[in-house]
Amino acid sequence: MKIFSLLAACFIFCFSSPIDAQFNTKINLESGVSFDLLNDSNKTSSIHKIFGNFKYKNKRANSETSLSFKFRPQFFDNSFHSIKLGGTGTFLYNSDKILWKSYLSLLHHNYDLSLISSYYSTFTFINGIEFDILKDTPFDFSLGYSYQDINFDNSAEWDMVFMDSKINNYYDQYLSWSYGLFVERYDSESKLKNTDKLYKTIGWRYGPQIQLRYLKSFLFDVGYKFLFYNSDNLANPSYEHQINFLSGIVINKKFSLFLLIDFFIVRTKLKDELDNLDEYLFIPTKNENQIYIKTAYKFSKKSSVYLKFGYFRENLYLDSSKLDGLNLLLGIELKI
Amino acid sequence: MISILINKNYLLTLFFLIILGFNIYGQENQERKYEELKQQLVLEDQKLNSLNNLLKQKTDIISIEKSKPDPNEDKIQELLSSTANLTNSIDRSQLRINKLLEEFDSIKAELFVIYSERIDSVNNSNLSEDEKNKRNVELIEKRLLVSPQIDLLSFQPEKVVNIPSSEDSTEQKIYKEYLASALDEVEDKLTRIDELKSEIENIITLNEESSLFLEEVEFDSDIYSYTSPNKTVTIENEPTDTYGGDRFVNAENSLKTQTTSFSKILNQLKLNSEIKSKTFSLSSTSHKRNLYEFKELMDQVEKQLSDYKIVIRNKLKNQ
Repeated sequence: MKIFSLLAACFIFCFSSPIDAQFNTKINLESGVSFDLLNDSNKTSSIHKIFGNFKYKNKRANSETSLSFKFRPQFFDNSFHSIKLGGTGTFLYNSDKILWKSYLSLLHHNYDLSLISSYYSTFTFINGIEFDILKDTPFDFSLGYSYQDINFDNSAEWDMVFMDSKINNYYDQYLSWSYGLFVERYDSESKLKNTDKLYKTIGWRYGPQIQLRYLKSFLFDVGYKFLFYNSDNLANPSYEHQINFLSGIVINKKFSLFLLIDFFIVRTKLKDELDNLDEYLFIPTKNENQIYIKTAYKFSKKSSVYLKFGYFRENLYLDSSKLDGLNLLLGIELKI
Repeated sequence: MISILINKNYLLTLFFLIILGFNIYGQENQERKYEELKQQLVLEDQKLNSLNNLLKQKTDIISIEKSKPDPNEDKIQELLSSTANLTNSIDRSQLRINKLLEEFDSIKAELFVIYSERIDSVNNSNLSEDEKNKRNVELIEKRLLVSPQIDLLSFQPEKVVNIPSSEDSTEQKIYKEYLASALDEVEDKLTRIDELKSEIENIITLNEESSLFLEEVEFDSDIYSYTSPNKTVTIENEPTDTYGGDRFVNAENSLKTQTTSFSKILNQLKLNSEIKSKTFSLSSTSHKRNLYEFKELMDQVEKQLSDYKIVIRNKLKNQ
């Protein structure tokens, strides 16, 4: 990870400056109940979360640099806790016709259960451009690299290089849609517990993506991605659906109501059903499915209170274990 | 005597008087510079025009001479050398104008701030609304003349500000009609801007709230959030993550999306000319603006229209 820290330091050194600097801090405190945790049906447990986000932003006439650090410890009935830490940096440069953008991210998720612990780390670096290919028709193109390290009794490392492209169209200033293509090459090495054998996988993921968005008196945003898999150990057809839906409304600038549906479904078949390796041979494309409804009341620009109800399913990459359930949370949000 | 000097109220009043003195001195000083620069600009512009005319004459003569069956090469050479000198003078004059314009914009911006501060101090006083308007009207007129000019109104703002009081009944009638029609137009535009502002504010609030919601629920999500179809990049100044953290982050924040939105809204307002000053700059053709800056522009246009409203009403009253 030293090289990543070094890259992050370079990013900060190259692009940040004390001019026009802004600092923002946001803290969320949440408490509530969770049901069916860790596949243990009918069990209700208490849940407490803290979410902190510190952001530094430096804006100039044609460029913007931002750095942020986030953390989120979660506690479930004292028997299980997890902590998620993340740092990201972005740099945008706007020339007359083209927007140039760079993104760097380091994320670390750590899970501590009563008997086992695991962690999940990622490093991502992306460069992209955005420009008009026709009048009022922006084209968004990015190339990126990502590294993932998943470690528990078993371990896996993934290297991914990808291309993401989208064309955006507008009916008017409120309604827009986009369509594009996503292509990725992945390379992984997995090591199973109690054995030194390495399993290597090389493959491709590719497919179309679409999005529709309306934003005026309310927000309606829906996106869909359909990805095919092509690798040395997967049979056809192997594919994945990714669906994102977000809707919301703000009433009297005080009350807000939002609904998020964020799901992925993977359908893959192994060429050889040996060793029951399926969970190690696929890319961990996402590690969380979720549906959330949130209603909030804003006391001031700096503080609000909210109620959040949702379903989540988090993949722990541990012998098919999932951290999932329903939860109901009461939270306060403070901005400093 | 000492006790009077030590009296806090006395010292406070003295302090404010000194500050006011400096303020007025600063204002007068800047106004003098403003007038000087304005005159220099007019003179330099006249000089540039005459140089351009001279150059045109010389190039015409060269063309005529060249078109002759037996052109006088010596004459052409002489003319060419004098046009080269002229071109250099034009370049130098243009550079001077650019420099003067830069200074002029800077002084205008400073005066804008000075007038605004003085208007604010009257507005914050305990005077009645009528009295405030009466005291502020001269400052508002001055502020209008140093404000970034917005090609939003069909009438000429300078004419309205400089319209004289007249004793003649026919002239009075014409001025009144002109001012009444200008007032109607200003009020119409103000209503429309109010609607747009409220729309923009709602969109901004929805954007911010949805981004915060996504930050809360998606922080722990995968690295692939950046590749989602809903993902796009922002260059705005409110808290949203670019690329990584948020899956949906907002198409409305996208630079290009916003530019598209702007151009459409600006069209509705017929606000397509380029506005530039030290205090604010916006080019409807530039892909550099976002909703927050657009709202800032709306605020500024609203302020300027409100200033016109006060000035026109005052002029109508005095006709």
